[in-house]
Amino acid sequence: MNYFWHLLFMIGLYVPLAYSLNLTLGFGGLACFCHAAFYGIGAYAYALLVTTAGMPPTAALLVSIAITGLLGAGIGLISLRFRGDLFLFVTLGFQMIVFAILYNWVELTNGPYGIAGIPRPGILGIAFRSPLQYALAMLVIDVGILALLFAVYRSPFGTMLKALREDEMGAASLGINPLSLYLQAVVIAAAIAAIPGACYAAYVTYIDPTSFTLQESIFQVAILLLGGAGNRKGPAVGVVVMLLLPEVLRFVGLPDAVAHNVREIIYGLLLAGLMYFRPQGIAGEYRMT
Amino acid sequence: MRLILQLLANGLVNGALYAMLAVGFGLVWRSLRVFHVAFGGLFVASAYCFHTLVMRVGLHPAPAFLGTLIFAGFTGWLCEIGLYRPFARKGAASSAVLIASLGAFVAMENFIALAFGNKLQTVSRGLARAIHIGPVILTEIQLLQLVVGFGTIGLLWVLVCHLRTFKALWAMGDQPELIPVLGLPVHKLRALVLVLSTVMAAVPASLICLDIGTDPHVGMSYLLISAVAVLVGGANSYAGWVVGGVALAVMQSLAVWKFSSRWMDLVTFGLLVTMLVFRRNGLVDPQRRVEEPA
Amino acid sequence: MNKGLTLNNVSKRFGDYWALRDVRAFVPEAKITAFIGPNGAGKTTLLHVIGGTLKPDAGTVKLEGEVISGLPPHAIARLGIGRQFQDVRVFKGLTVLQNAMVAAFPISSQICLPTWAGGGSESAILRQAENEALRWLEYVGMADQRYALARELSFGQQKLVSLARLFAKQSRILLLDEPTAGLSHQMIEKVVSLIQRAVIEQGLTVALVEHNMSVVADLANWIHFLHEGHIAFSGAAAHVLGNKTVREIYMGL
Repeated sequence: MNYFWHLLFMIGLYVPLAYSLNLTLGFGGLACFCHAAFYGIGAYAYALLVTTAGMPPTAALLVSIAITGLLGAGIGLISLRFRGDLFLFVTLGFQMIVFAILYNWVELTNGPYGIAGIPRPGILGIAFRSPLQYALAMLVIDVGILALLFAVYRSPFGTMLKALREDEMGAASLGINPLSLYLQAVVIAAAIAAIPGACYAAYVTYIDPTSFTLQESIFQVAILLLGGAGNRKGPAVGVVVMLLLPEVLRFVGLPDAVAHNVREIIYGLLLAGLMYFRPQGIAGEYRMT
Repeated sequence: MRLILQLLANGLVNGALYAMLAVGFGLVWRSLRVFHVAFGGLFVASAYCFHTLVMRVGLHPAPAFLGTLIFAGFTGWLCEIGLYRPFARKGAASSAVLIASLGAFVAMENFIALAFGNKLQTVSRGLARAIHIGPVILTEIQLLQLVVGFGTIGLLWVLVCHLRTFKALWAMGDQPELIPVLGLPVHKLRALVLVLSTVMAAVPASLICLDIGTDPHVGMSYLLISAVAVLVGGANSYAGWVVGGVALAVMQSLAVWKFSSRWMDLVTFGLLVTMLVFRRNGLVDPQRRVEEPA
Repeated sequence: MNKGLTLNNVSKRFGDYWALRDVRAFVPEAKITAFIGPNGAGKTTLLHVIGGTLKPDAGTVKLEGEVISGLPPHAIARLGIGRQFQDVRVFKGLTVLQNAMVAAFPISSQICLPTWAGGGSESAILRQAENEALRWLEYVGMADQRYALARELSFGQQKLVSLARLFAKQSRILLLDEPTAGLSHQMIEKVVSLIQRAVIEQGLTVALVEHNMSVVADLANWIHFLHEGHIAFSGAAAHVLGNKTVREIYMGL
């Protein structure tokens, strides 16, 4: 039973990741390959704040959101000098850089050894222990985040972001400031990705850089492209399918030693096949142009 | 002073390798307008082919090298037939092709890991002989890398300057719709680009494998190097790719002097960002007329 | 102070080729001014320079005495200059209604944060933009297709949507790049009458580039004749169209 709740928690963890990435990739059409970096920055900022700085979890969460948002603004400012393939490549580079920093800046992040002993958060003095409690807390957080994000999706801001995705020069000719809107989208997406980052750190109580690699970024983009980007249905479909896929593979009975590689091969081929046969994903509106 | 000369020499040796990678990546970018992420996967595949031929089949490195080149040409051709051609037929958007290419890369990397394991694989040999050239010391293998590298680049450069095929390739990059109109064989040209590009990856892949070995996960780093070299040097000219590759290698080599080699990806990428921000079209930029704003 | 657009010695260079050389022209308020000339004369480049998508290498563009050249395109658009592109650039993946609504949103809604602060004003803005958008879609006769995706429309219908967008944006000056190119006869008549109505009813200023001489003759009050990047001849429409040199260079008559 615990395993079921664990799985539910993981789905709850990926929901805000997919829906925030949807703002940049689905609405803005910005193929952002450093979402796992934002997720990782959030996780590390939270972990360091609650362990080294001894902050209470809520405060640490808020500060880690702010830090990730700020770094997102910096990364966004540089990457947004480019569009299309180059934007993708530059964000991919930032993903590599953030990973290199997490892995090599031993004084700050403890490098490959990671950060252990992250305290479990709780309510009213009772610390969360079981996956069920975590899953329920995640559910509450997800509802809050989705309310915020859906408000953005349907706002004039969201529609204008879509207009930029369809035709940047056309949108600018109507008075829309491309850099400002894109940057806001990147910052919001980064800041929101920090929340699941912190939740993950609080759940596993030990983090290391290998959770925030380029593969993870590719995985998150694959979630969105498989489910479909640019609307409210797609990301949910993507999260459920992509997180249940390994369970199906387990069911088939692959030995553990090769399971990881087989999974990655499937993701890779899926991505390539998807781009060819169904660029808008299962339930999406936006197709790569 | 002596240290700087030594670092420069090391940079130059790596520069020869990077320049080949840049040429391989640049060829595809220039003439197919494809951001060839799978290049990283093809690089690793070639390195493993070389390793297998030497260590498992037991060939001498020289015939193994030739075998690797043939294998590389074949995989490049497969990559065009199985991956890029269908997308080109459909007229797919460039970012869709890029993501598909990334998917292919991930699949290749993990397939190799599955088949050969995640460990570093080296080509065992005796201690490399060191050779003194004035104040600097290079190993035999470094010297081999330098000579083969710049030899290959020079040879291809002569071909690029004199063969009309390359003019057709550049034209294909500028106006792909014109090629069938001119009666040129589009599919053959595209396949040629991929074959050539992959061979250009296989040469440094074999040489690097011979020197320090390979593991399944180095592809992304070398892809980063190739793409950064092309963008830094200037995406549109052969000279730019070579200059970009050498410049990047020398920068990295000098950076090792100040920072630890752990920060190599950061140096690579820092160079790219600085370049793109301050000199967008790269070091070598043939003037072009741009009528419509991008 | 001049009302309207003034071009002072505008030059634009591509490499060593001068697409525009010392272009001096005036686009008077509430009139239709046409830029005509053979292919490659620099007409589209001129619109790019006025609209801010290209920066002039020399010279200035002034709107009512204020220099606007050098501003980014969105800033120029916010001053009331609306552009229609040759290839229309509608938002193909959005509906017709959304296309027009995007133009009708107030500038303040480009900041995302208030979305979360006050939920009530948000829907008011949406409703207002929708009304405004619908009004102009009706004006151009595209209201019944409001839920269609723009990519499903014909080229002519896309042109109508892009006109509705410009009206919904409350542009005071329209820059139209070949508004009738590629359109059927009926569609040309429709677009011509819409442009005329815009000038008469809303008092808009129009600058257009056009190849179709009968459209130019129907619409233009003023004509600037561009040849090899500079203005060879300008004046009242009838005068320019009747000019012998213009006829020789352009129409081969």
